[in-house]
Amino acid sequence: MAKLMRPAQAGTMESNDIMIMLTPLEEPCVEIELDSNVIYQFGDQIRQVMLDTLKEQQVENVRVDAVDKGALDITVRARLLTALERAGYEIKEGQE
Amino acid sequence: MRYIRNTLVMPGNNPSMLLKSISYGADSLILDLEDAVSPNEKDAARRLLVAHLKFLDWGDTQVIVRVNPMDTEMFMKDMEAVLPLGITAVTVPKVESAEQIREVERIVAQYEPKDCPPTEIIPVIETPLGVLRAEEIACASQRNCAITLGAADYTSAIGAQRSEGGQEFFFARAMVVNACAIAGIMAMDTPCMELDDMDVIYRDSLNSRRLGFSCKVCINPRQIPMVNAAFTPDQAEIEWAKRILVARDENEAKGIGVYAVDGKMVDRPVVLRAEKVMSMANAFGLTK
Repeated sequence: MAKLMRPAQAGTMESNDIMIMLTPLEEPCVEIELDSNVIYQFGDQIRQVMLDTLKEQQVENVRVDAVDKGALDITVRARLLTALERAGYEIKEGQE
Repeated sequence: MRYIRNTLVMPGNNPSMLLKSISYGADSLILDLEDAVSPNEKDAARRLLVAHLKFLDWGDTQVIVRVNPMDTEMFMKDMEAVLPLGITAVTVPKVESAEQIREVERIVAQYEPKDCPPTEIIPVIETPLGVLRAEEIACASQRNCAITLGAADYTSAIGAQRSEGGQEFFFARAMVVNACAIAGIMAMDTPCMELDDMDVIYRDSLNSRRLGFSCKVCINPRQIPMVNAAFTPDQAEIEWAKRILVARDENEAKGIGVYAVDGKMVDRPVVLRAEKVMSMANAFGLTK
């Protein structure tokens, strides 16, 4: 299991983007709090993209607070990976 | 790289603009990791741009990526990230020497995919030293397909004030056009900073073409129609070129090198200009 070193943030509140904030947790646990203007249509999918990305990167101790403004899956993933890097996590590029 | 009249700059860290970029009808796109991205967002932009380059269908659009300057730590990270994706060209800012282009060439050869057309190089000349060395930069690599003049940095460096006509950087424009002619590559003119007044944009674009530029950088999609209007041969030009080429064929068959069309002398330079007009007309689908 990889540990995050510090809180971090990536993304913007602009259209088609997503703002992601990460907070390291002491215990192995993944929490996702999502706010989205398309939550009823795509909330489950956005959460799944985040869960899949965290699983691929073997991150198991993080709280994710995300505000989505209609981001595509690739943007969700890119912003999450950037936030992980900024949190001190070394991205496994081969997993992308 | 094919003939282009315009190349539209899109910020690399804006998902909305990246998604829309294909729909503006630009001949080519410059997806920017340099000036359009704030210093603390370079990592995010690089990752976002790579994701969009992989995911989107770019169709016939020629995709150029502007990386950060060679003297920054971002440069190699940008190159390693985007070159394996088979982009049309990489454009490198603030180039000041042939050695720099040879170094870019080496890096491109190392990282480009082997199953795609070779990635080309577009040096950006935007410093006084770069302008003076325009010819050596233009001729430094077979991968060079164009040079872009960046007037904002250049005029700032020489202490000039920007004017509508751009007379303060006429020297730089002439140097870049001349260097590109020697190297046989396209000359891309600096963008017009006007975004709303279409007459100003059209006049500036027409001025660029008359000076010898092949195309112009656009910083807003609204500029594209005006730039295209200035850089696309009109019907009268196309008909003139056709008459010249017909006369060329007839006279060359008789061994005559100099002749008259429409009451004006035609020799080799005029024929070359007519051929260029027809090449552009063909490239833009204007001939039947």
